[in-house]
Amino acid sequence: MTLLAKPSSPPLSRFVRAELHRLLSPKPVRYGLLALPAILLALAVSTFLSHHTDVAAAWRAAEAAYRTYAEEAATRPAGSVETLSPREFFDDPRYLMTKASFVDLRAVLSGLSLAALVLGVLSGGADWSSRVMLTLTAAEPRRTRLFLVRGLLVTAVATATAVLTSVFLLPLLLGVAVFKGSLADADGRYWMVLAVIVARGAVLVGLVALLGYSLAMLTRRTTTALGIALAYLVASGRIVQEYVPALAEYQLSGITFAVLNERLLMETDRTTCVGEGACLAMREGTTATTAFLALSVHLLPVVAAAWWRFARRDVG
Amino acid sequence: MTQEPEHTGPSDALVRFDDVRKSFRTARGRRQQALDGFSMSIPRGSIVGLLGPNGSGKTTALKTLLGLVRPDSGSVHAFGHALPKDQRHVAGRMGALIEGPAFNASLTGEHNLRLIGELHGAGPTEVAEALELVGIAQAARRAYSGYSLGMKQRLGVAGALISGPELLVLDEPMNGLDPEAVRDMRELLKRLRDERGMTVVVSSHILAEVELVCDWVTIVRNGRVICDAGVSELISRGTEHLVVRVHDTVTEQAVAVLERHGHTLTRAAGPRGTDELRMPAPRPHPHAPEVLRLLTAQNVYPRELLVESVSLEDIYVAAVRAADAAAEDGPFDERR
Repeated sequence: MTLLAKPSSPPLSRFVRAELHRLLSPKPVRYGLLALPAILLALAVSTFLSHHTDVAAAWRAAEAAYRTYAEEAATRPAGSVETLSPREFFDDPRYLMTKASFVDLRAVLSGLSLAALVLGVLSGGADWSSRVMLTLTAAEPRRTRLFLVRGLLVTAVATATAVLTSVFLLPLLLGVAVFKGSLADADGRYWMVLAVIVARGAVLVGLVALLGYSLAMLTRRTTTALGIALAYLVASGRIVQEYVPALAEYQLSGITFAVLNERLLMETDRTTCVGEGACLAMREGTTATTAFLALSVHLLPVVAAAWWRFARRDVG
Repeated sequence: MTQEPEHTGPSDALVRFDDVRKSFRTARGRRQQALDGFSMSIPRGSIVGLLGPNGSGKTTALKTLLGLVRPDSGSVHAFGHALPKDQRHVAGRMGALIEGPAFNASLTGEHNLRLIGELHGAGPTEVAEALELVGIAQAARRAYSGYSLGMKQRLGVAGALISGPELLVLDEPMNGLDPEAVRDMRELLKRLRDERGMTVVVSSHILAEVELVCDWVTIVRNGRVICDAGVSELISRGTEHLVVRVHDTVTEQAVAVLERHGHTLTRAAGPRGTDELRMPAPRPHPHAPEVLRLLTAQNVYPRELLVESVSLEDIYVAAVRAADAAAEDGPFDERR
């Protein structure tokens, strides 16, 4: 018989290792991580194949998009739209590079933010639903430590996933740009800005995962936390737009856009401005710093309340 | 009459609850008293049965011991440490299955156990050993979601054992087990006590099992301990009965004979045209030969004569009824 009594609760290193394994163990998480490279590859292939500016249908669509873009740009104080014709705009080889390396990257990071929210909710809520949390808190009575370790691990895993995704995706997108367009004007500033977007995006993804985790730890139910998150994403934008329009750009969609927004080589805002909050953030020129501050306004109360409930209240 | 709880316990108590109170707020905003002056001791190296009706406070008491629930007042000590202040010093020395088994449904039994074992520094050897101990090694690689209730229960016990605890806390461990598994569980608990000196606390509704496996029993009612004593002591304290089964044609004659000689009888209908005459039987000699002699002298020949021993169930029912009667008289009201 080799089972031996251990004198106390687990040391930090062992605890972190165990929690990391627990976090990565659920099938949806494992399958999601395994499927991610394939999804990114498919996106790159689709970007490569769908770039047909010489096809009539694509051209008509481009003209329509340009008209919308011009109308949108005319409402802004400083627009460079007069200098670009539709043909110049979409034929400019820099367009593809900008879109591939920036717009597509932003789309992927925005999608990852959503996935991170779900990951956070699952990592916080699943163990409540299955009552594994009772076993964990009995084994590690220092609940603040448990809360922090798990929260930091969720954040770190989501951030690392975003970084690895960007590292994997960018060469693919730049490859598309090289074969279908040009890397002209890609100077040091361009690469620096790209790196900054990746860094900001990774932090955003991590913080959103932390938000999801905290929400689940606060509500102690996966479905409730997911419901709240979904209701927020669907309804709050409209409510804020209706009653406090001044705050509309600080909705999560606006925050995501502002954090990932950067004008690189050309004005391409209209092509990626999706949703009222995002468009407002674009028009108002919300900076990434302001957006992160707005995110912390979302995050901190939820984290604090979740910590208080978990560390100070009964768990049974 | 109020039956005072006998929570003096043994001198080498591993765990001690003293006047613990805990209330919860219900969904309707009312306060519900889960523990109301709960006091008990858990003797080292014994198997303790925690009995009581649903909602009596058993699980709350166990959760308090595990640090999941914090008492409003009173004190809990385990291994000489005050809880929940020193919970982290004793957490690794306790293993628990509380409110049924809790595992990730999509993982295998082995994977689930590995995750718990990792917290305690237990490797594959210990995981395999724990699975073997509870008898589900052959199902280790199957998904937990495909386990039967009994298998889940066994895995829960394996999870409690994986840390190699000195104190094992099992909340309803026999739930969902088939008779063979119940017997295995009983043997396992006894082995853990005898071979490793493990102290085991079992909360259960299956009184017969508790009687068979436990050394010590604590009966809880309305958040209070109403009885706390060794099982053999309790049973020896109880009154046995001598049961005389006679054909119903001679019942009146038998009653007359026995009452004439000072026996106090109760009558009940027995099976297949018989009546049962029940009378208290003092230990250690329940005067069966004398009763037989009296009856046969009057040509009354009993169909059966047996000594009905006291079961834990009798003691439990008597204790709960006494507590209920005492509560109706209102002796606890002053304390609320």
